[in-house]
Amino acid sequence: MPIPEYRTGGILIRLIKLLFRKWYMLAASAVLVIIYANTVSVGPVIIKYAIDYGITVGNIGVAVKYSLILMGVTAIGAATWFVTRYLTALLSQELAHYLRVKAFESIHQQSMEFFDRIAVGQLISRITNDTNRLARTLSWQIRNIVNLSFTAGLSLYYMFTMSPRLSYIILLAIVIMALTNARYVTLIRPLYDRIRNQLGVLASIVTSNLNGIRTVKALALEDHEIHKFTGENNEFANLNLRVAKVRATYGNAPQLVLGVTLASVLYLGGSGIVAGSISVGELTAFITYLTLLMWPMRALGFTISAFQRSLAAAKRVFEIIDAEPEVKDDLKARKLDDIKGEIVFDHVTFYYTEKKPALLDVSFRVAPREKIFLTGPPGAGKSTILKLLMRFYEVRNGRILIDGCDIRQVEIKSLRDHIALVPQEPFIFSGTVKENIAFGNPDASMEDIVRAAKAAKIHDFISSLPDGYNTVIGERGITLSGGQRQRIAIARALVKRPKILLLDDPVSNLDTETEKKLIDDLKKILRGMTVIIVGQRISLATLADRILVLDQGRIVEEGTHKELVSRSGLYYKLYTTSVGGGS
Amino acid sequence: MTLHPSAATLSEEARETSAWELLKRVSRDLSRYRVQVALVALSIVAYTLTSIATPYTLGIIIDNYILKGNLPGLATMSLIYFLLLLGQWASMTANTYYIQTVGQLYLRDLRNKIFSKLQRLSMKFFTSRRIGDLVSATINDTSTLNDVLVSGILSVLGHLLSLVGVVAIMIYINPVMTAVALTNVPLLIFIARTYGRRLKEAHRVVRKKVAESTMLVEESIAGILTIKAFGMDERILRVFNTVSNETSRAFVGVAKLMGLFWPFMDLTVTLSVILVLAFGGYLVSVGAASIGVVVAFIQYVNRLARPITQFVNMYDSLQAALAAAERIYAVLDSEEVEREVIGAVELKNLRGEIELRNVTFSYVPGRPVLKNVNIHVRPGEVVAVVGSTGAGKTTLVNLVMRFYDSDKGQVLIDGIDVKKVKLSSLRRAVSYVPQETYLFPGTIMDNIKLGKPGASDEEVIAVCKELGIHEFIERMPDAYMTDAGEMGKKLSTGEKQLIAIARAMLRDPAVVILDEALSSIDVVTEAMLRRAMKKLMEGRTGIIIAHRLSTAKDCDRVIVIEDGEVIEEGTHVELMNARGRYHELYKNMTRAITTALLNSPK
Repeated sequence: MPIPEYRTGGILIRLIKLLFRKWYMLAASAVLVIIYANTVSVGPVIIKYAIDYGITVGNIGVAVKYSLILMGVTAIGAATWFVTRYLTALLSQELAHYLRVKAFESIHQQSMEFFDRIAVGQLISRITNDTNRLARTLSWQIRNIVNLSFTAGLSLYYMFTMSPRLSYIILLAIVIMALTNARYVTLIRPLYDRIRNQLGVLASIVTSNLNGIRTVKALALEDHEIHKFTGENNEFANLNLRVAKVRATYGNAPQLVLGVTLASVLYLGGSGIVAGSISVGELTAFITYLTLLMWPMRALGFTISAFQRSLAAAKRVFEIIDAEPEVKDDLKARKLDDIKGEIVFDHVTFYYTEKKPALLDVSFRVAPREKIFLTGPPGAGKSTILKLLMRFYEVRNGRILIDGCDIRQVEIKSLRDHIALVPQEPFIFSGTVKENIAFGNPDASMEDIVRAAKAAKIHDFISSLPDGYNTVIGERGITLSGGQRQRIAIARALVKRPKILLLDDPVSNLDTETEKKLIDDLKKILRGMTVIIVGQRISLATLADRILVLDQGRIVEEGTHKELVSRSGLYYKLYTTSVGGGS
Repeated sequence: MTLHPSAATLSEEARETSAWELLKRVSRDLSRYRVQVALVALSIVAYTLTSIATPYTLGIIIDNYILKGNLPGLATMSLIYFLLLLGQWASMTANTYYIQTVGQLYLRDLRNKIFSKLQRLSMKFFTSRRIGDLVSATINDTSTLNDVLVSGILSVLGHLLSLVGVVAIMIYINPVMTAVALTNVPLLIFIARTYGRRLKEAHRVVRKKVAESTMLVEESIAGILTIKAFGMDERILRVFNTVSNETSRAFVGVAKLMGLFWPFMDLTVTLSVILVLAFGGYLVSVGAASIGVVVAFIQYVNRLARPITQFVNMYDSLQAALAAAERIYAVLDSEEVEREVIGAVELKNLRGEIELRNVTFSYVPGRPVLKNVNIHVRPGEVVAVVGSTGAGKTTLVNLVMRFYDSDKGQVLIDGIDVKKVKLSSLRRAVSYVPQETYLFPGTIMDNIKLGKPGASDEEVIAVCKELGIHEFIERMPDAYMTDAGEMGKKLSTGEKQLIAIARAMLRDPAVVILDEALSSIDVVTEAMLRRAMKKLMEGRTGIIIAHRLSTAKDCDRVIVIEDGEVIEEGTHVELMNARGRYHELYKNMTRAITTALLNSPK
């Protein structure tokens, strides 16, 4: 996956472009925010009039008039605020939705390599948290930045027309507040990050401890675990206490600035009133302005840092969206129509990491409807053969042919339509048994599903469940044993009616008797399919026409059971140890 | 793929806690930090007093100094005003700091307590709970409890006190004007209440939708191989598109409510300001009040909205805290702890004799899994336990390890009832490798060392060499330093089992129990391992549960269990000659392989 380089400017332009797809909404919110800023900054002026021309001179009519004007202006402000808030939320949420779906889509186009490399938690966090954060801060920032500049500008304008001297003091106070706040944010943000990480550490300790509670108890590791948790938990508390300190000192600092400024404004303004250079109403207006501007100034530091963060979040999301899938359809890829089911590995070499090849120059042919048992020690490369055939990974050297067609030249979807894979550790989705079995073939009838379940020797178990085939299984339902999961996966593969069936260690979690029954049944079912069975249990060889033995990425033996047993190689060893001396 | 509501959760089983009971309990816990709590109380009082005094002083300054032209007095009063604001700032700073401190200390101790408690609970507790719920109780619910009950209540108390103070001083200054100024309070409460509820609900929907989409992403990545294999990408994308859209809509819903809430609150406050202005203006004109009083009142009115909003919505957060507390106390108060008798015996120099005497046991009352079982394993003997799935093999181990206690009969180790033995010493003496091996995050080296904390790298390597798995580990990308991955995801089941065996042998145990511990290892490796184990097992007692009867063959004795009863017992040869169940099982297995293979026409 070549990751393109991202520059802050580039990300910004890209975001703006995305936002401009709804330019009219953007424009409308900008206009409305400006109106809102006007209503807010004119408020103190109205109060000034009410006091100077109404209350101080005892003219109730004028006081009431200005009061009503203030009410009206506030109402207009409220209405515009509401509409802007709604519009910006709509705008940013549409963007978030767009990015989420794009990222999700991109993830599902990636080859398995991508998932080997990037932690699952990372992906989830990028799709959910990062997009939400982006939306939240974007909608807030659009409003806040415009609002802040206009409110501050207009307020200063009104103030300077009333008293430049007092205005300078307030301007100075505002600047100091903004600066302390910027400092506050730079101090506290890294702490918040560390706290978030530390919380993750705590959660993962608890999760892995509880998942492995049986092992913890068996090894009497309780005290060891408590010690580990307590250490990290205390660290978490210490970080939070440091935050408390920073919050208490810097977070409340504007209050101190406000105090100094208020007292000076009061003294200077008071003297001005006595000298007749300023009115009571004007002084009140100044005090109101001071409190009015305090909040946005406090938010300024956070706006800037939130902005940087959303750019970082956007970068992470774009990285996912832009990731080039390693395995993708060739431009000239064609559909793989009806196949007979011939498989050829032609000098195939593959490695997951450069260090060590997983498959080295592997060649073999499987005839249509032939059954192959692929065996060998762990790490020999057995599962890799199945994964390459599914094109989860791309071969590094050589080629794989199906019915004579290089699989790189056919549409991935059509390739996989013909093949069904039962993985070693099958995945069960949260859903009903029925949904899980019909997963690969949504059109399957109930009859098909039951037939497949019977063949997979799981029907009786399903029938014993409270809601039969409608019982919810998986993460949010009944937890199945390894053997039950395997059999559901086999049923799932059978429902698909594939031409090629790949079974990866399908009986490893079954007891001998179930295994025997399953194998007996499979003999009948597998007729008409090309089958590759990967496994350790020698009993699986009974299903096969031919046996391939793999060791350290190479095919070391090939032949029928009889041939291989007479050769007394690796397979012979495998066989004799299984049957306990071959008696 | 559809989404289904989750099944039983911790809170369903938790007993009802009343808010009052909970408060009492939390305050009892808080008494540990009484110094900090006292400082919080002090800062609250100081904050209230200063925040009442400032507008009052402002009124006096306007009336008695500015309007009367008393300039020297104005300087002094401005200084006093500044000192009051300084006091307000100082008390606020102290308040923020100490509330946080109390909260964090409380949170820290609560989490430590829960985690320690979880370690002491029995397996019975864990089998009926979801791990996710327990993690959430330890991490999230404790946070909620702190946010609402500790930090939350302390700050609300502060606000409440200042609210009372403000109203009192207003009444003191001018009762009639107070009545006028407070006419908007019912409206404030009404708005706070209705919107509070709706917002709560909207936030709940957002959380639900975010959880749904997270779950979907999580599941679709966990099952990516299956999704790809079955070409279900497009279907999943469609489902995600819907969920994502709903998530966005939920967020917009919150924004809409918030967008209405604050303007309404502002309008209501403005209404009150206007009433004060109009009525105050009238009073000033008739000489019944001063301008300073009007200014002070406007300031007071502005301070009412926040505490009222907070206080009104306290109820809802309290509900959340109650739910969180119930889940927390379901763990803390659980009595399903592993118990040790007073004066429990420390096992030393174990010979390794294990005996089950007339043992009956059931997980669910009335459905016994073991029925009057008698087994005697002599020191140094290696016994295989075989039988079909569900026969009760693993249960046997559960009782020896004391994950569960027998209902009837006794489990003895070296002649001592396991119930009278110190749990840690029992489990240190008996090495158990379970069916589903669990590896902890960290390297392979770290994982093996868990068997004997404090062991050196050399010891680990020595054990692996003895087991013959040293080369296998060396072949891995970073040898012993290879990351086992979260929950051992990156290793195959067989590889995990090899590591678990090394971990078990490292502790030099007197008794080794392998519960299907070799099921996913290939037969050749298994045979190699078995030979190595044979040497390592010298002088140790072993209980080996196995599907593969080839394993049983090598053991000193075989015990066959069916339906919770021992039905056969003897050496491999004896049982083969007896032509009973074991013989049948063995024949089945070998026939399946030999006949089918050798008689096949190819």
